[in-house]
Amino acid sequence: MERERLVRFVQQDYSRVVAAVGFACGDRSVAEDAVQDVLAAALDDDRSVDNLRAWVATAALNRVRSRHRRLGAERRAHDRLGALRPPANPGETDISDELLAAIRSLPARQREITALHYLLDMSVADIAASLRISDGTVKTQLHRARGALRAAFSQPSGEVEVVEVDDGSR
Amino acid sequence: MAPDERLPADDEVDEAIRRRFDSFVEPTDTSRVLAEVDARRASVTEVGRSRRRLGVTIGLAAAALVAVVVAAVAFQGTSDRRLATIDGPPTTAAACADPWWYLYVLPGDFLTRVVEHPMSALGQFSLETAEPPLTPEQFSARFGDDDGYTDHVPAGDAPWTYRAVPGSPVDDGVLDEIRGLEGVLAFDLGGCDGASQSSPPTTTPTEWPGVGVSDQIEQRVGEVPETLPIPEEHAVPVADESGVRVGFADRRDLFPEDRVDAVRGCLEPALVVDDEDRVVGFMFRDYGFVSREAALTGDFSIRDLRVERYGNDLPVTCVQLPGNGP
Repeated sequence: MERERLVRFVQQDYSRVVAAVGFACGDRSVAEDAVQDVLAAALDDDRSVDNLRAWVATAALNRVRSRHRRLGAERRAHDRLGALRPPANPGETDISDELLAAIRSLPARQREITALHYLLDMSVADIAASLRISDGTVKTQLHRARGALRAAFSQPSGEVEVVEVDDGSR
Repeated sequence: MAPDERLPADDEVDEAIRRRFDSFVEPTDTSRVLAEVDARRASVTEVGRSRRRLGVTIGLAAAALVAVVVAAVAFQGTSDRRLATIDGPPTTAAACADPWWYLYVLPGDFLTRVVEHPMSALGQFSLETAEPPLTPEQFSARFGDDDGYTDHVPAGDAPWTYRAVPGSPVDDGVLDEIRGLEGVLAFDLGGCDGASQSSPPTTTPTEWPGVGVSDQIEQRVGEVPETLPIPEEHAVPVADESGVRVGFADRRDLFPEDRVDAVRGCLEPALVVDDEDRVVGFMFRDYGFVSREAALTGDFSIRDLRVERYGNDLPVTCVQLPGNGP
């Protein structure tokens, strides 16, 4: 990627992509790390990318998922060794209000899709292509997420109902 | 964006969600971000150099180890070598001197996830994600033979691949990681005898399958039951919404007894099973996924190719996918 394009991206899209990834993973600092790592790698990559915003967001989400899995493995290793469990996702509290609570109540996939759709304004087709899932899955997940967020927003402030959802993650 | 690409509008909720989201988009300090990106890039470059240096060292050590193992296998003879081929529960890999394992990825996740266990001596396990998905050429360039590992990308545009991973032993922690990966289609151990992965191969050319294996697949696949419960410890969930999971059972019993040696390390079909234990297809190492229906009707094409990694230009048969994964 040419440096000029990187500069344009940082000026125009960076903050929105960081916010989207941050909402998806619940930690803005982790999101910023992931996005910057992707940009650093992209500088040495000659391939052409049409939709840089979507590409960076998707690549950053992949990195975040990898990070979470590594943390999970580390926690399990600590458990096996009887050591103190490291804190879970430190710094995860920097986004605070009912929106965070509502977002956190969504399964991981719904969080990602919601953030990509509403923050990056990606279409159903683009999200499906980025996450390699079907259009129908995107629509279903968005529909569910919207329903859950609608319910959360209708709660009086500070009384957000957070529903525990099994998102299948380990 | 075309309106029909969007969900049916729910303006009130959509507006509320967008407003909340937008309030969290912070102004960007461009110079700070650019400086941090440059710093990361410099750091990554240096790490790469260090890894290459370390890779050379490990490669030399690995070559020496392989030489010892091959010599030992040759000394022990055929029967012992067969014992060393492990396709069963991964814990038995601890008994194997030179285990390899394979990670198959879903067609939709073509080359997006690569699991490595290159530093087993240090007890490290790393997960590397390639973004964006790599083409077979890019994959070869990145993970090609120059790193000393055996990687193989099926010829053509088969929409999946695997990473051959050297290392030992595969423990529960590694398995936990694999089970947690989205898009992982199958996991398979094997290759301890060096016959299928190491070069030079320890089997003779006549033992390798040539034209005709496909006939066996078509003939024998009909004997697979429509449903087959997979033990939970062998089931790998695949993609969070699909409900598909995989049991990687040793199905060499599907093939004639006298061809077991021939198919060893080449086919070993894993059964792809959905959440109701229905067999939806088969994953063949080196070859690809074939749906049960396609296998029964012969609706997949066969073509020959030469797999360079076997080191002697042996012709093998490739099941070219019809293009529809599970």
